[in-house]
Amino acid sequence: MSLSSILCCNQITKKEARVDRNVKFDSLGVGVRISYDLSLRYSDIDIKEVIIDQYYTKKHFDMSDWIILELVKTLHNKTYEVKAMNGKFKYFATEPLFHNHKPYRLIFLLEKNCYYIGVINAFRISEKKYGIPN
Amino acid sequence: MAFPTDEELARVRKLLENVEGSRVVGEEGTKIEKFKFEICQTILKFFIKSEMSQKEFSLLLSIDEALVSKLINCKIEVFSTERLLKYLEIVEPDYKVSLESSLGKKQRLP
Repeated sequence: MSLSSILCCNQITKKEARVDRNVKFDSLGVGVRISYDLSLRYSDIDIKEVIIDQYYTKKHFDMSDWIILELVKTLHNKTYEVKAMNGKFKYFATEPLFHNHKPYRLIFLLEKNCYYIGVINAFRISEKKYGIPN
Repeated sequence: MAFPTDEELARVRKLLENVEGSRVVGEEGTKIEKFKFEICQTILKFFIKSEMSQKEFSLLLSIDEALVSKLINCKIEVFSTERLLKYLEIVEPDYKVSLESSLGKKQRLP
């Protein structure tokens, strides 16, 4: 990975994180989707933004947007096989992505002719599966 | 930009809940894991670009479809380096592997 791509990939800070104008709210007033500026290259596409669906907060209390953004950064310069497709959306499931030596699974989407990654779920997975001692 | 509907997202989450995930090798990987992963990524890029079916790709590589699935999901632990290089040679006959070491660099110094 070149120095420029590392810089590019680490551009985001919590300060820079912003709530998307089109953020949706559920009945509890919690944001359903939050978008962040993040530059990386995935599947030969220059991604400019990551949109995180807040669905994961319902089941995975140990997760946060910040951890998810760290996981998304590890997709830089990679390509993966499409797991499902519907219209203009392609869906991907990847694992293990590591953060602080802990493995995670990330489920995300790409929309045709768009420059964002949409995270639709993310959670911790068993260390045992990858022979990692607890 | 239009995110999928909630119904579509629920359907996909359920569908992908237990599906075999594509393998990721990041900074935590060993050098040999990263090397094997890079080979898998090159083969995967060829597969995507070719728009072949898994069946067609299995015929090209002379392996069964189950192994093709492992290959395009970058399951590096399933394949030896030698085997991956064999597949790489089929999809990228002119591939080159370069090796850089501190010893080599010193040798190139005047």
